[in-house]
Amino acid sequence: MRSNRNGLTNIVRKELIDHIRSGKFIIVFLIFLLLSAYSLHEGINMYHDALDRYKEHIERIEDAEDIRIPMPAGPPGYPGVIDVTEWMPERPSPLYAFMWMRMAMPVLGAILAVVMGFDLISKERQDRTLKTLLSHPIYRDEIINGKAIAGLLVIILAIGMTFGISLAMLLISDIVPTIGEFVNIALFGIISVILLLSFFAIALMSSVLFKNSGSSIMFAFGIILVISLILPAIAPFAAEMIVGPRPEPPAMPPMRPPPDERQEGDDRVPEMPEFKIDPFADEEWAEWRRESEAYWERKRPITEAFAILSPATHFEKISTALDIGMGGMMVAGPFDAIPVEDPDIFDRLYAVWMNILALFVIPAIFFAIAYTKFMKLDIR
Amino acid sequence: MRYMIRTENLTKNYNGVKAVDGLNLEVEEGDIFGFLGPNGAGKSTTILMLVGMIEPTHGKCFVNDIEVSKDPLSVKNIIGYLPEDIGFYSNMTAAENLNYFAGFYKIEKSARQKKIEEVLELVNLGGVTKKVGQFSRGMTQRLGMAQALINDPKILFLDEPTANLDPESVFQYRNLVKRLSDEGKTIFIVSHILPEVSNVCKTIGIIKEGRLIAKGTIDELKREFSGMGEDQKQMIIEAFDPIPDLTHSDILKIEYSEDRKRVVIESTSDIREDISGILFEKHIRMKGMKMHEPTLEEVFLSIYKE
Repeated sequence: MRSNRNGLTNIVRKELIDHIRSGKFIIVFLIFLLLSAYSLHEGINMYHDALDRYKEHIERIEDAEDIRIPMPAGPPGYPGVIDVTEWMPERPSPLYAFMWMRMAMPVLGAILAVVMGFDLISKERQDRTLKTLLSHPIYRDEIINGKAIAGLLVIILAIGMTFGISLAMLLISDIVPTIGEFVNIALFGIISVILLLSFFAIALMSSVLFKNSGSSIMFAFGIILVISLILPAIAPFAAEMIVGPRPEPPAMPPMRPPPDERQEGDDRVPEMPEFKIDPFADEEWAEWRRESEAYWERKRPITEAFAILSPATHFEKISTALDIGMGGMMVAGPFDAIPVEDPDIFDRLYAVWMNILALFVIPAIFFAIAYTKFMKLDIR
Repeated sequence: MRYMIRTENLTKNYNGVKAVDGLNLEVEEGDIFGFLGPNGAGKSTTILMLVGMIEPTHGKCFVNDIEVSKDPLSVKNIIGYLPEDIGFYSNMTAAENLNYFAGFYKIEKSARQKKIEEVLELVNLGGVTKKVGQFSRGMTQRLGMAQALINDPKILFLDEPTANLDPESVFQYRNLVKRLSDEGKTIFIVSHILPEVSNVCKTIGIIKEGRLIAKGTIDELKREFSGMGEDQKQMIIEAFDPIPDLTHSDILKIEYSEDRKRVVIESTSDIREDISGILFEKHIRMKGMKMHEPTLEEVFLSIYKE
């Protein structure tokens, strides 16, 4: 009897069927799908509202020739008035509709992925099927690789269905993404797959570490909670303990607000006012600003280190770079440097390459732990 | 003479403790070999090394002349293994479970279905369509036998095969093992149910603290460990009246009970007819007379006492 070296395929096929037939997977996936659809529905409503506001704004601008709005007091360099005709808001993008989905994905995805993976190995050990399986001509690593591949395929299927339904909902709502926006949505789909794969790898690792499925699910959610919430939450405090307290601002304000000499009913737009600047105070403020920048530069790597294993943090940053959930809504303020041109997708992704790398490395780390432990597992 | 199973100084350490200690064992082709020993003697560790599921710390083991640790997949292709406390996928039927395991062998799809039906019939599970989760332990055990036969193996390793079987299933199992042996398969049975081993096995090996301490046919072991020679017989006579001194040229040893109503005779031949004549002549009313052969349990216990 010759061996059939399709052992891996055989396992992947069986695991795929198991996932798709599994009652708990079906229930959690349906909840995931419904909540994702609801999130997008809410996002679509918000997009329509934003679009209406944008249109109104444009109409107001088009009707006016010179609208200058006086501004409240601010730091040095702060303009006294702005001309709204020179400040054009950006049109809302369909990407804005994904805001709620982007926020929901780390939570719903974690639940779905953990449900898929927490008992993959522990159940085989509990039911004593692992020994039976290993008595047939199959390499041990094919078992864990097969389970991981099947998990990835099911995640791709789940995210694919979710995004397929999302796109259909956009089109039904008369929202047609441009090719560029479509690329961003597709990339958002890909990072969602990797996000879920990270949680799945944690669950798979947990199922290898624990023989009991109850302990496995508790451990998996515990790990996710620690790396996604607890560590990032304590990071600022830990960083402050390491680098010390942040510099205190000068006691004196940088400038006093200009007196408004207009009378009630006077709708004249004031000319650019002359601010009374305190040179001594301004020097102190400049020093404070330098110290603050240095302080944040020291603190940033520490807080980032705490969040380095958090797939949700990297997912957030990459989503922001892709404009997901904020397309056109992050309007540049009057103090922001006006970009020469909108960065293309490669520039946006390049800006977060560390997060992209980390998002791929995280599932690899947890899978490597699961793999190593599984290969050494005592199967007596 | 061809050995289908052979071990050379096979050793397995767990945290410095030797579970199997320099085991040298040979099992001939077509043999039904019973591997006996109490819990913790190293039986299961040995079988796991032989089926390629764990690697030896030292030494080698060969199955069909293939060194197991060097090519476990080739070994697994020609063996069938029924583990102790076997488990199956409870959400699948017996046929679905077997179909999954058969998928690891190069069996054509049509032949695979035929083979599945055949082995299920062999263990009386043909036509059973309920999920394995609803099976009794006996049914699961029988399905275990079916999965061990799915690849038509040359060598079968059975670990406590009758542990969960009812008497009828045990009877069917014995017939099946004998039939498989007649087909030329080599069968290696690990068990601590001694009557079961003595019923089906041709050769027996006894392991103690990881070492093989006895090996041979049941008759050979009985002779060796009962302290009697090949032609020695032992008989027990019980009577209602005290038995007088008995003399016979073939008697080697004779022991009377305190009330002389029970005698144990060791002789070079079966002298029951002569002894009953002597007792009849002396008007001794006999209660019974029987030949005594040491049981496997007695042999096993005597070996373990040494």
